[in-house]
Amino acid sequence: MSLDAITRALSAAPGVAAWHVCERVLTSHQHYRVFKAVEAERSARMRTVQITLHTAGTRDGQPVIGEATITLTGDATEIPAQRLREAVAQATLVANPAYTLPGRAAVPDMALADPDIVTDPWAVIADLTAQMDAGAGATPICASELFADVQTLTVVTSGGFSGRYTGTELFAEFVLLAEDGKNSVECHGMRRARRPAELELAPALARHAGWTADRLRATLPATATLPVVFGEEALDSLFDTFVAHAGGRARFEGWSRLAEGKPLIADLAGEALSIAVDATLPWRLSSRPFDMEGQVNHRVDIVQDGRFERRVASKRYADYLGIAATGSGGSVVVATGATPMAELLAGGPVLHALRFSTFHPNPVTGAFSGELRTAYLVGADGRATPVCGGSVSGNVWEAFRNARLSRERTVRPGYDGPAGVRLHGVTVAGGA
Amino acid sequence: MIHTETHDIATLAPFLKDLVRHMERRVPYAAVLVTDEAGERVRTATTEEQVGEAPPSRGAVVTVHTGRATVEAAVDVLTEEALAEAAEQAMARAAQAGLLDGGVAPDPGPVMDHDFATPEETPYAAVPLADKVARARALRDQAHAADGRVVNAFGMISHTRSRELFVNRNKRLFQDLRRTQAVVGVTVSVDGAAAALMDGRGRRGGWEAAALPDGLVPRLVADCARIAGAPRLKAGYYDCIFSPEFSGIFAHEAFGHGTEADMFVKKRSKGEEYLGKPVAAPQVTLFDDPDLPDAAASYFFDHEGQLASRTQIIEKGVLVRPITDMHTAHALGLPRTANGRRESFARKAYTRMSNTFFGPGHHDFGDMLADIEYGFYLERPSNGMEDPKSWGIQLEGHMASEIMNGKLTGRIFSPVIVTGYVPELLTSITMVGREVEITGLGMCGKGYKEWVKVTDGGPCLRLKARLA
Repeated sequence: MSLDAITRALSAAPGVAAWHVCERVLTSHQHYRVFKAVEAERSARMRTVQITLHTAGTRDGQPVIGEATITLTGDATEIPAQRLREAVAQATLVANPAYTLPGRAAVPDMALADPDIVTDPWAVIADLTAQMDAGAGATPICASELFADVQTLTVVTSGGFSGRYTGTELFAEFVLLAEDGKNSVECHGMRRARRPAELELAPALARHAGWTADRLRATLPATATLPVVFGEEALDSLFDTFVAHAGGRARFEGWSRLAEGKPLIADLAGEALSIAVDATLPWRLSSRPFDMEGQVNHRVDIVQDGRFERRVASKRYADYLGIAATGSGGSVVVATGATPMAELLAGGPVLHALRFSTFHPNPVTGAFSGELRTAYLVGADGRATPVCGGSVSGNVWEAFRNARLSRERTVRPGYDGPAGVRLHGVTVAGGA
Repeated sequence: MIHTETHDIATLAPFLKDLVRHMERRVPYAAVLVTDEAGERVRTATTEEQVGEAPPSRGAVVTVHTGRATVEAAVDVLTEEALAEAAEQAMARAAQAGLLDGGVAPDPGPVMDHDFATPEETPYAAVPLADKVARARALRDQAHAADGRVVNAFGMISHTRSRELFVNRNKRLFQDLRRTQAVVGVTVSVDGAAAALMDGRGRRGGWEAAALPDGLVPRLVADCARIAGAPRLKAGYYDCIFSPEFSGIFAHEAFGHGTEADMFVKKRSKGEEYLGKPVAAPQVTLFDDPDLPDAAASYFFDHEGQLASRTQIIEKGVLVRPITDMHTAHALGLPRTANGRRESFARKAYTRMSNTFFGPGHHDFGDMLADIEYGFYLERPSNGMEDPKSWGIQLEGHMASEIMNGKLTGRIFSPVIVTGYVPELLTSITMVGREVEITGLGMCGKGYKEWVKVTDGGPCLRLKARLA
């Protein structure tokens, strides 16, 4: 649907100094099963057009901007005149430091849309259902959901930027059951990817089936301070605090503890980290050619050899801080280390934590806690015993002082880096 | 300004009645839900201010139940043509997927024709936007005034209006729901250690619900300064008192999710085995109530046309009843409760909680403290997660206050995590406070997605728990 009438109205509106328009069109095909029976099938279509307008003014002699948003839904192709006038009036009620919207730029071509999902999503879903069943083997899948989505995003700005891309996304959620006559347990998993090749559903289900069986004999770990090797899902958010502190917003809001050229971690005794944020990798779920304001995304090496190098900043925060805009979002890419995974797990007891109930290190403080869902206690003899329940807790700023990174690499929807990260001095709270 | 669709969705009812009749010539059950949600949000932070519309959600979902499965088509264009096309699309897909034959259709319920609306003492839309900006700024400024170490603060005022029309063979139900939230957040830096906290209230209603209790902001700032750089407690098994907010997240995670009856259908809930059996100490009661006055997650009917009413989940420590949606009540032969909810018209209905809370008891906070030799008072929960099959639970919070010899010592530990086995935690409850508090800022996901508005709460609870 054309955005011409909307952009024309914005350009002509009195009092509007700048604007950006972001249109999202999403189609979703959804398939739900309870055990092997189809519970539901759904299709959905949604379109939203988010319009942000700026007004210009001054405060204490400094240039400021007012901002307001309008969101249109469905098949709307025009902004009602009254809403536009109201939005301009609303914008003048707030005053933010001025910044300019991204201007004209070449939009990189990026592989994000799988043609099979675009043309026949139900066929893709049928194929993935079969892969799921094959991967689980004899382990019952008591519930599953498969989504095949296609999203087209268009951004136009008053500065002259115009870009569009289409991306596909597959989402699979599944629950496997196991019982041994005395106990019954479940293993709840999720996979997301832009196309079936990265979803790797059959091997993922096979791994989950193994974890489900192991969980039947899992015990509560003993309370101790142990080395913990993070793997699988436990890696997904492990570096998020560092990325948050490396953001332009954290610096602008006054809580970033990072300074360019200074060590990421004080008193480092372990391996130095190299971390990048990269939204340009092909077929990655967190890749996109530009952000919601039309800023073209770039790879940003935020930490190299343990030193903080550069901030990730949208155009807004880049202007506020007087640095170059890099765009927003992307995969967290961590350089692999020198140690084979087997060596990271040696010298037990070591806890190999693969999945938590939920695990989100605090972006400001770096404190982390998580209840163990899938984990193994690896003894000095190398024997791995499944453990479950209890918690792992620590703080990334301290735990990474003595980190070791695996030589092996893993790629996950938002993470690309060592398959194992060994942290020392982590508290495991469990039984006596 | 809150902009809902220019035409009134309620006027679609006669057409939708005809559409349902038309579809039911070929399938045993059909229904349509139309939703039109819009809102406004004002956020004024130290560094930036924003005012504008909350992301709207406007569309319809046509439901066909074939007796074997549900097939739905959701559209975001609310014209008769678009709705008729969605109905055809759902019917065609049901046929294409071979789902048309067999099974028994759900009961459409009794004949009903109602319109409901949330009362507003002071209509939110009648308050000038400038006043809302001023109130948000006042919250921010109050936070800065409370402590010079506040490096960033924000005040936020938001309002959501959700209009929903449900039509099936027997029912035409329309509701106009309004809820308002006031939130304040602070980031404090103490000797180079930063911490962030937020607090607020969400309630059903208009501008009158945008007020925060006196003392909330200074207490928030003080607590944030106390947790900045605070040590973690030594892992162990302790006597604990949960604050009402902490009790709330416990209620939600411990037995809310485990008694969502779609978990029973999927054999994912241990609770199913315990219906009619003790699962908690005898003084424990637990409710889910979408009809709770003023609560932010209250509604008049659910997204499958069931009128809201209270469900007692635990009575005197015994698990008495799960919450259900249309499909699960039908499949399991259980009483239907008003808990069939969707994230939006574009998502499926599941069994979902609404306002979930522990009932009151007879103890004062002082009674609870009195004989604790060493333990912790847990406040300011941040998140939680449950495992309904194995009854594992994880609750996280920002603040554990040390208790020694029956008194709070003033020492703070942060953050804190509670893990354990749900029945063990519930049966360890020895005292239940008198005052139930529900704060109303929560959202709840199902699995990895499907966010809906919920609230939770309860009184203070005295129990034993594993902390780290």
